Amino acid sequence: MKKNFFYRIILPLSALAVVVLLGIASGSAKIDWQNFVHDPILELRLIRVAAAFVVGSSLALAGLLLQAVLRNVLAEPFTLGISGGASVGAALAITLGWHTVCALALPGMAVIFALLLLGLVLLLSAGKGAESMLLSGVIAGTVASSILMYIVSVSDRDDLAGLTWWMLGDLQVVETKMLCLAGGFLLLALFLIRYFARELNAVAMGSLNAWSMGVDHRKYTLFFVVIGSVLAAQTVALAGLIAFVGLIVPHLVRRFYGGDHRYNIWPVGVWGGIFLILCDWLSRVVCRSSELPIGVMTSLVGGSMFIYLLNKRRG
Amino acid sequence: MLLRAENLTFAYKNSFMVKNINLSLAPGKLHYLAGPNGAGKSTILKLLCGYLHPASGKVLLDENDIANFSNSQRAEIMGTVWQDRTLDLDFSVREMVSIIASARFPRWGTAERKNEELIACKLSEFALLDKAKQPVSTLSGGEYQRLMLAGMAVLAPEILLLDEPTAALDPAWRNKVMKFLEEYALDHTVLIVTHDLELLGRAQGVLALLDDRGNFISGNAAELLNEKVLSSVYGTAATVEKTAGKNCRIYFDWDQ
Repeated sequence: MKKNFFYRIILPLSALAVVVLLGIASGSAKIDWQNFVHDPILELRLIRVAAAFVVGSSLALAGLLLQAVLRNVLAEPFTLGISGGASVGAALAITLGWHTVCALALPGMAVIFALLLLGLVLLLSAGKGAESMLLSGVIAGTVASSILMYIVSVSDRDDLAGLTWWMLGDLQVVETKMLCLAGGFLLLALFLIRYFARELNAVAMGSLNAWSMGVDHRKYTLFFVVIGSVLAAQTVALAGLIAFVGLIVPHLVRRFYGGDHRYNIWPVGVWGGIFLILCDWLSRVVCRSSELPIGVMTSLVGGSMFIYLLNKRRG
Repeated sequence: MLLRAENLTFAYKNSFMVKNINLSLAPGKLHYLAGPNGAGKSTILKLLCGYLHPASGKVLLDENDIANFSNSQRAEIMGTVWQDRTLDLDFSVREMVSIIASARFPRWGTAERKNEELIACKLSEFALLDKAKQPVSTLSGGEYQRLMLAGMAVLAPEILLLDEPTAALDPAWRNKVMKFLEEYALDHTVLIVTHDLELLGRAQGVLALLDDRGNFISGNAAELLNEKVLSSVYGTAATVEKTAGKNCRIYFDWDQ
């Protein structure tokens, strides 16, 4: 029991404290610690660290949900075409100039388009099982990325820079209101997923086994996919496209905490946040003159970790 | 608990159908469901557990329509073991047992952890204790079937339906598993689907037979285990020899 308490509570919370301190303390500008209450840089850093935590945690949870529902460990929030939809929405908002009119236009469009695409995927694969849903998602994502490329090709030079940053992931200009909203939904989602963890386990075992366990497979598949999609869409709205977190974090956490969703929801949520704060810190430290976009950083870190794990497993 | 099917009829969209299924199963002896490939045995199992809704007729659990049970009530009373093994997420063997039996445990808290001993006991009964921490994907087909049975032993449902539970087992394990099921059937209702003629020869409870023309018969195994009935159900000449005790030996002609 003591060992359990250490791995589930002490270790993640101390790791979180360490990365939060790292995230706040380092960067190109110095914080005025004598007068820290009014220091604008400290405030910016705090928002940024909080945003990294919410985004990382949401992505990791969304990945965990979609992997369980689609019964595929390579599924991630972006496999269902959610990112494709969100990026089309956001790109439209940028090229039409809506984001200058209303601050919530870009996140709003991103979420709306992500959910639209999800609706399409669900409609295409209705009642045909997990493989069909995965395939429909891949196809919808490809179509969406072609549309995105078209939008990029016809957009102004001014819009292009913003669009590119956003496509690479960007934790810098996070709206505080949007952040609070996303944080609130993250908490709600954590609670809901933990409460329905038994159902998530059942859904991961397929339709017949789920029925034997007293779980309506279709109903709960829809429930978990919608929660996962909103989690993923809100990260896209907050910080653009950040790949690999939804893949690597659930994968690692399952290794150490086991696959039973009754026991790995909380670790996935916390370690997802820690992972992204760490990546964000690295992106500022590695390349001091010009920051690496966070999406590039997660791909580099996550990708190399994944290849290492795959090789280790085979060997 | 008594499991009864009354005039069940069900048709898929492609016009395949099962009709007039009448069945009454009680604790005491192990019950069998047999028939050629594609006759609809799995469909009947899916109807009996409420996964498929019959076009007409009903399934009764102690005189209560199964449709009136909530999902969680039903899951505590009735356990099913299916053949399909399509798990991509790696649960460990121990986790899998506790997940299969989770209808027994409350949603919150760690009551399931307090049943550690029970789970360990059932795992060792099916010789899986030394593999408890291994991912389920590393198990062989036979070990997987034992795992599912260990899960059912922890869940201990009143009614147990099994789709070919011994298909991947070696002869020694098949006999052990059958002993377990026969013992379990003394005070629970157990129905197994099987192609194994040696097992059919041991049948003493209800035997239900389904042929590929949609004819369904059920009755006492002692009456139905004869050459005429089996030849007509399987469409090939069967020989039935009485052996010592109540068992019999069944085989089909190789040259037909």
